[in-house]
Amino acid sequence: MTVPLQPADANPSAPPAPAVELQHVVRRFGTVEALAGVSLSIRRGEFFSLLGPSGCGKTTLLRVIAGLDLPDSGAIRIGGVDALRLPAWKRPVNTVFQSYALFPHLSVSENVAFGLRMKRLAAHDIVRRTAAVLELTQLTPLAGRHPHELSGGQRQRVALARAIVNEPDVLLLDEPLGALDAKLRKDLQLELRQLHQRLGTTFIHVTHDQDEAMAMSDRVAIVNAGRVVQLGTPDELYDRPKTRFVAEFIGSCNAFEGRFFSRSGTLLEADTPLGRIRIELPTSSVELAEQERLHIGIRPERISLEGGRPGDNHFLAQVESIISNGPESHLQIRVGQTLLRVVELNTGRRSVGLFVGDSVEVSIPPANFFLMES
Amino acid sequence: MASATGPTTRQRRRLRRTVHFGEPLPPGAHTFRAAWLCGPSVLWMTLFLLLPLAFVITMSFAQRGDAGEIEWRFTWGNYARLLGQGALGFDPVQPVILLRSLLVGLITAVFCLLLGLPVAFWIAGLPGRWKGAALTLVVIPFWTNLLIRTYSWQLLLAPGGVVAELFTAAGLLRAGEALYPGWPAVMLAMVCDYLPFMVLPLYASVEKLDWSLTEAAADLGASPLRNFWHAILPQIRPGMIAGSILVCLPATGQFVIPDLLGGAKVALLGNAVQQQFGASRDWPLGSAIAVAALLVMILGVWLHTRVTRGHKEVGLP
Amino acid sequence: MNRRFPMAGFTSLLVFLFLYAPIAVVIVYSFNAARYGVEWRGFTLDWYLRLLASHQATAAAVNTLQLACTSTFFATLLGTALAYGMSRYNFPGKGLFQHVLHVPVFIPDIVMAVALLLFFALVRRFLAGFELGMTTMTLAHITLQIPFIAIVVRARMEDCDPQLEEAAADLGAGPWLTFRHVTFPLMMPGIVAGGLLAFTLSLDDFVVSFFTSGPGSTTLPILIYSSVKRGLTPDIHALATIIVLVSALTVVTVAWLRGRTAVKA
Repeated sequence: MTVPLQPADANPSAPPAPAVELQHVVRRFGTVEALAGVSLSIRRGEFFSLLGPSGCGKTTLLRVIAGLDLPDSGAIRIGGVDALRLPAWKRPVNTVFQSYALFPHLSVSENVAFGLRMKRLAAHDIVRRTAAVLELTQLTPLAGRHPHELSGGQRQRVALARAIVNEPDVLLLDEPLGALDAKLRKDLQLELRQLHQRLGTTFIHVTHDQDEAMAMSDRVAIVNAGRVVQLGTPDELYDRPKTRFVAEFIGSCNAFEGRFFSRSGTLLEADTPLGRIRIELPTSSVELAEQERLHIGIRPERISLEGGRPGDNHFLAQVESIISNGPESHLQIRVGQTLLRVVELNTGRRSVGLFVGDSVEVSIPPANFFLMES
Repeated sequence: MASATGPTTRQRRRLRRTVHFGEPLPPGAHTFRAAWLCGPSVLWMTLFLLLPLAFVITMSFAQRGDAGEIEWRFTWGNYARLLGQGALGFDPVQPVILLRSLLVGLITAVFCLLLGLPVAFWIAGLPGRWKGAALTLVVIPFWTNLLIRTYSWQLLLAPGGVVAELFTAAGLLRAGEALYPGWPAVMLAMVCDYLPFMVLPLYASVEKLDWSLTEAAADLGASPLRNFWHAILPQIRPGMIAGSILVCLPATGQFVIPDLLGGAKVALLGNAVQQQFGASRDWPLGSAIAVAALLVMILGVWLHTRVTRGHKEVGLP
Repeated sequence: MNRRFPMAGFTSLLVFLFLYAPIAVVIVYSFNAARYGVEWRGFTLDWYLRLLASHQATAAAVNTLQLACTSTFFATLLGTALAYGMSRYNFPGKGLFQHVLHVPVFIPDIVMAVALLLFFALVRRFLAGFELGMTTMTLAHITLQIPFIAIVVRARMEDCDPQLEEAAADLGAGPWLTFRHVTFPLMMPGIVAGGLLAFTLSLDDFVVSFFTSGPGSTTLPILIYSSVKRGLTPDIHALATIIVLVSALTVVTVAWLRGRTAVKA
């Protein structure tokens, strides 16, 4: 029997508790700290992704939420209720495992109905709900088959169906699309997103694929070495990465150091290897600008080689290399001693083609630069 | 209810549990569970295996009294007999038996190897579905009663039978002499009995062969024989050695085959033990011989473990 | 691959003929109408009929089956529990015990037989009325069977994905329900296979049975042995044929079961 999300004595007019709340969760394996004090608050109904490289602790975090692992210290609340006093089978949480973990001795519909059977629901309820979910995940014609007779994509669907039929408060997905080929992955990403919108359940999704996280999520937490490095919407993470790690994990960036020169309001002037540049600061980065040493970044596609507007930073650069892969051109240009990577769309609108060795005018709007912590 | 900042002391105590296959377990639960699951079997094996073996070892240091009873005085005498030191000077009976048994084991292993190699290669070359069936076919005799498979050689090798005629025609048998009881019968039955023990590890090695090496060798101009020797043999060596150990060392302790087919002419370790516990009534000496056989076995297992470390060879049919 | 070694197929056939020659001979001669000697004198079922009518053989068969069933039952219980405990939990001395467990598999049967004989002789000194017989044979057989069953069941458990039990817990199954609906059904093929193999082991065992048996507890293998020593009679061939076919059938069943219920990824 799972414990309901809202405790019975909750104030009905208070804002609903977050779906999952973690406070300073620590988990050690021997001397390795898989989770080094993670604090997160995940809102109800959101599609939340944990993104990070292999071994960063994101799967451990998921297991700790599911109850398949216990933290060494810290608090976990699911729907405002202390989850640590609940074993895995009592938590209102279901997991879609990376290896699917389908029961080989049961058919597809028996697999899907498993959670409902454990809850001791009436037989006709089980049949009805199982059939509904099989329909939802397009598995009805496969209901009688066994897992070894299914393809990878079909097994993934069964794992999903088996989890959502229980109508959990939180659905955990551990790299659900990792084992599938690229085309299938794209299709299923869309399906998952649609499923999420349809069900309204909180999804917590773990992946190392940044495209996937960015495409599907409401918010993303970047995890590295057991810590949450940055948390925000995909746009926030892309436009305002806080650290070099985040900037290079999601997309690519040109990074260099600069020295503080002056600041008036949100406009910062800094001395850099590119010369003196103007940076437009969002309010969130204002404290970063107070330091003497600044870490500055700029995304390759935010550097314009086709003239700009007044107010932009202008440089003269030399083209060092050009690689075109069809829709895009990847260039390396040299401004003084600094090498910058630039990505351009081959729109075909350029009047004169670019070649290696050419001089080119570079313009970068002040808002395109961002400051990082390190 | 939990406080806003962290767990209470009770929660912290519960936090020291670990989750094992989805179930939270308090510390110490592992050992407790293992105790009631494995305990009975551990007790059983201690009582009915270790204790009896310990008793055998103890008895091997005892002495046989003049009237056949057992005198509990510590002596190395039985082991000395095994090494040839008899009551009246050098007595080669026991050491010869020991050495002969080891030799029989080795010869059996060699023949099993020769016969097993083509079978291993043939099975490895079968289409996937048939491999399991072929391996089962190899294994069936192993699970059939050894007594039956042994005594039937008496029929096969009876004078006037097909095999006897063949052997006489080939000049390996003089007229009037019988194949059984005697060494030919024993060796034939030994090789036949231990063949599956050789085929399985050999097959496991052959299955994993990297054929590209033979192709490279042929490409470089090697003849089929040199190809086999240099490209294939080194790769299947673990399987060959594992199989040889699995055949040679159990064969030294074999009892039924020499007993049924050897008659008085063949005395191996197994017969020696049985004789001392039967007709000769020298239980201490019999125990010492049994310990010797046991040591040979332990040596075999240890060697086998060392050789197959890192290779997942099949151990049990 | 076989095109490289075209002789492999032909040679293998010869080897298989060699391997099955003893079994084939016994089966053939069980139908031979000749009372003595090895010449073929016509097909007959007489020996089977003689066998069925033989009081000695029937008594031995009853003993053998009773022994096999009892010992297999207890060995399966103990061996399965052992396999489960060893694959899931740790205890001090586990590594050493694993080696002990393999001893009955590799030990020469004569050494095992002699050890048990001595042990039971010792027990007889202290326990009046304790005699060699069915009880001692059962105890001996169980000791031989436990390692086989434990190894087979453990191998089966190790083939199964450990995450399956976590999935069951995640879906709302507590420890007992997980065991009942996931762990145990997955273990079953291993238990059945182990049990069948143990049964065959008991049926076929001779040396240990011989040394631990008493008057009135003759089993079929012991009967065959004394028959061979006294002088072979054809009804023994009939008996042997039946035993061989039962063993072969068991092994094939186990192999078929393993193939059918193999854990497919």
